[in-house]
Amino acid sequence: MVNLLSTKDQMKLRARYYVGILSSFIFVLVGVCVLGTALLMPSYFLAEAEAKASVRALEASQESVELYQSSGVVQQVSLLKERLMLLKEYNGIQTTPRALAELTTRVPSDVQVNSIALVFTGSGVGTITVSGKAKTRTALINFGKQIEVVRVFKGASVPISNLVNETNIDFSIPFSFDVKTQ
Amino acid sequence: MKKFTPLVLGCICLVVTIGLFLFINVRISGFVTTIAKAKEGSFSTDTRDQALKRADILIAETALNRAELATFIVSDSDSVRLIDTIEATAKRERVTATIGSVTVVPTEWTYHELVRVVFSARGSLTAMTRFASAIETLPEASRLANVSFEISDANIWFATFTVDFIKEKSSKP
Repeated sequence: MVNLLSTKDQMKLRARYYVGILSSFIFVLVGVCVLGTALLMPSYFLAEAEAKASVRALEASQESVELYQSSGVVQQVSLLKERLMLLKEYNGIQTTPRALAELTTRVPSDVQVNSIALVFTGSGVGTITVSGKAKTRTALINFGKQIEVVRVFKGASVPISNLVNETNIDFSIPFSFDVKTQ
Repeated sequence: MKKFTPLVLGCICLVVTIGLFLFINVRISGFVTTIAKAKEGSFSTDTRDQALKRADILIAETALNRAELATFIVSDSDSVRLIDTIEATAKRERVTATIGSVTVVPTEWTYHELVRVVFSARGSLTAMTRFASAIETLPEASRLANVSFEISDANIWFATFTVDFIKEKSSKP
């Protein structure tokens, strides 16, 4: 088969052919894009409606929270919480009568207690310092031992510095007490 | 030139449709992100809302109990009553009490503060023990901070009490 067209015409014809092919291809792409966009439109409107509804729900919920907060509910609850905590701590455990009773009944005749000081570190818990005069060293040691056996008292021991003199000893015995757990 | 017209037209259409397609995609993606954020926010807000609703019910249902609890807490106007109570207790237990000071102690609490009352008492050890017992069991929320007993020459005991009472803060937070 012989092509009788001139080379110039042949080139023109080839160019038109390729331009046509390319144009067709581009229009197919355009068609695909239009179809894709059209298929996405329901999703677009659905997503838009859903987004608006979600934002409205969030705003309503936030308004409700703000309303409760402005009504002072949070403050009332924290006031109640603090009050209950304090009432538990400041609940009037009878400590002093028990400590005094445990202490005064164990004072030997040759020991004279001149002062008793209780410092509370918590409800029913704290430290005691007992001061006075003991006739003899033995009497003082005996008094220390008497205090040691009491369950509510802890760490009661006569300080070595109090045992320098043999008679007429001025003493001061510090120890802790806990009537809450005992 | 005329032969390129469909090609140029096709290119313009392609650019426009690709642009539209991308625009729709970006918008949908934006909506999805908004929905996700709103749902996440709603979840935490709803949880908070529910907790606040329950707290509101608790507050409403415990009004009487809370009012009863409040009677154990000293208010601003109760300072004189407090002194009267201590003096009446001392009289009842046959000790002589003298009020030394009444001071408000700042605390880290939000709604309450401490009222520290320092007073001295004089009497027998038995009366003093009873008085200490009565002070420790006052109906007001209180606690002995410290107490010291000293014997005098005439076998009379002298004691200094420091009692902390819980008081409502004057200025509400």
